[in-house]
Formats: sequence, C-alpha cells, structure tokens
Amino acid sequence: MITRQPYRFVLDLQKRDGTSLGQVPAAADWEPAWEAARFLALRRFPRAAVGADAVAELRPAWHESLGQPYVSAVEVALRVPGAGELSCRVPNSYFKSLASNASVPLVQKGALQAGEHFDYLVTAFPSPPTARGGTQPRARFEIEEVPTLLPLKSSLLEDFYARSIAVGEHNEEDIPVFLPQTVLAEAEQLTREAAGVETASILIGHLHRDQTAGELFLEVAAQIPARNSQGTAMKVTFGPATWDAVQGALALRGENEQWVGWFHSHPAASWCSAKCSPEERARCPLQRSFFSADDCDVHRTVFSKAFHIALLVTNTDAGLQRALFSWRNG
Amino acid sequence: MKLPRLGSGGRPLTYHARLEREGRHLHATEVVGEALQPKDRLMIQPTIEAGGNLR
Repeated sequence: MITRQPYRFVLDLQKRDGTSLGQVPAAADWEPAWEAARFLALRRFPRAAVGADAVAELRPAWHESLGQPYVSAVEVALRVPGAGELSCRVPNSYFKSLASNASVPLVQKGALQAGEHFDYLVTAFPSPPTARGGTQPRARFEIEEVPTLLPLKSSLLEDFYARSIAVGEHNEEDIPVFLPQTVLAEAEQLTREAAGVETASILIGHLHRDQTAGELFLEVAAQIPARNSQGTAMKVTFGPATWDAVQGALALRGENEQWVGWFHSHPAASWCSAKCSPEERARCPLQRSFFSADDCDVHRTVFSKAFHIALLVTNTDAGLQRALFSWRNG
Repeated sequence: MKLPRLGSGGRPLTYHARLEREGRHLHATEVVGEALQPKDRLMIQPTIEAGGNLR
C-alpha cells in the first residue's frame, strides 16, 4: 500500500485560560490509522485485496467553526484499484499522547504546573516538497512489503448470535466479537491465582466472514497463558520466550488459529493503600477498568491488526470486573 | 517496518530478531551479511511491559 501525507500536522498547545503554550510538530505514528483504513476496505470490499497498488492519503478535515488551518479530524482516504474508495475518520484524540509528551518540557520550564490541565488544537499545513538530490545515507538493506492474505473463515453470523449473550455497549463501527465462557472463566481463574501480581495470556481464534451479509466477525477459541512472562504487582513483562512459547503452542494445536488478542489482569485491590477508607478505595481510579499507556504500547507493538482485542480483568474490592478493548479508527 | 521505535511515554522499545532457520535469537553484535542466508525468515519480537501505571 502506498501512503501519502500531503500535510504535516502541528499541535497548538494552550492553557485552560487560552494562554498560548506554543506549537509543536506532531510526529504521529500513523500505522494504526493506515491499518484502520486497510481493515475497513477488507470489510467493505469482500472480493478485493489491499495490495501494493492501493493508495492511502491523510487529509485534514477542517474545523467547522475555527476554519483552516485548524482540524477537527484526520480523514484516511484509501483507493483500492478495481474495488473503490473509502475513508475513515481519525479523531483528534489520536494526538493525545503526543500532546502529553509535549507538555513535559513545559512543566520543566515552569510554563505548566505538574498535573495542570491544558488543551491542544490540531492544525495542518501543506508538507514541503520532498528534497531532491539529497545526500541521505543509503540503507544497508532494503525492506519490501509482501502482502499477506488474512485467513478468513466463511461462517454464518446468525449461528454465533444464536448461542451467545450480548454484553456491554454496542458500537456499529466495531465488528462483533465472540468469547466463550470457558475463556472468561479461565481468565478470572488466572487473575485469582495470581493474587497481587499481574498475569497474562494470548487469545487465539479465527476471523470470520458472514456468508449472508459479508460482515467480518471475530471468534476467540482459546487462550494460551503467557507462562514465560514475568509478572509483578504493577506490570507483566513479555519477552521473546513468551512469543516463542505461544507460536509453539499454536503449531501443536494445528487448528490454523491466529493471534486475535491478549488478556491481562490488574490486581487493583492490591494496588490501593490499606490506609484508605473503603469509600476512598471505591472512588480510586485504580479500581476501575483502564488501559494504561504501557498496555497501549503492548497493543500497538504486538496486537496491531485492527481486529485485535484486549481482555482486561480487574481484581477490585468489589470483585472481578471484565472489560474488552479494541482498535477503533486508529 | 511499521513497528514503533518509541512507546507512548517516549521510551525506546526493544526488539529481538529470531532467526527461524536456526531457532535462535540473533545477538546484537551479529551482522546481516554474516548471520543471514538468502530467503531466511526473521521474526521481530518485542520485549515489552503491560501494567497498571496510571499515566
């Protein structure tokens, strides 16, 4: 897939009272946005493949009231030869972590207080023409994209609905996800057994295309505990041994399953101070289901396909809470 | 290669390259011209942490 960025994006940072804190270039990681468009094409164009000749482009959606150069979202436009065009809308929250990182030197300089809230506006300007005849050093080897077909099973979505119970809020942009009760029970059991330590597993299964309407949906078949990971109270570390063990287990199962996501636990009841009252602990943000910055890094790095999911079980004072996270428009 | 260099907190991420032909991870001191053969497959694997750090 050819990617084009005719605009560069800049964050305009402001204090809550409107005082300008300056502008910083937004060197965003656009791969999740490209992947969102790729996956949308897979959903919309069942008979087409997003190959090397597909062209994706980032386009600013200008802010309705502030106007150019202010941006209300970023459109990822994708043209798939022989199939058609589509676009997906990436919200400005995509830049949130960049704005957060940009605030660190502002706090160090005293322009912002630690913990002080601030706003960011996203602006876009035409990219400068590519410099020609530069003296950039040549890479020692070249990387070539080899498009791989996503393994899809042809199934009836209504069969899955018939033996399932809907849980949680429904967003039409998301594909249906089916989790067996056994996987949920195992995740809860792993959470209890790990007690005050984080634990994790890899979810495996299949991506299906509905024979009737053509929609995609995800089936989690099983989980493989990440036995080679190292858990502590505040984190679980995955290394090469973890991934090797999972690949080995998948090969042994021989079911042509793929990685579809991961599970991990948050032992929140152990994180909260025993000095806090039960009321304070109940209000503590640690007792809620949340996806931390480190969790986002794992999801971005290892589970970067648009259909990959993350199951979180939080061990709170009130019992175990389940939450499911997924990609949505990058 | 579509892999991020930095985590969301700005920390550098660490990757290892697993050489499938030999079933081992390449060492940082090994160079492509000596360790690899044509058609070798490498699997890039991160060392990474998930956690409950509320940042």
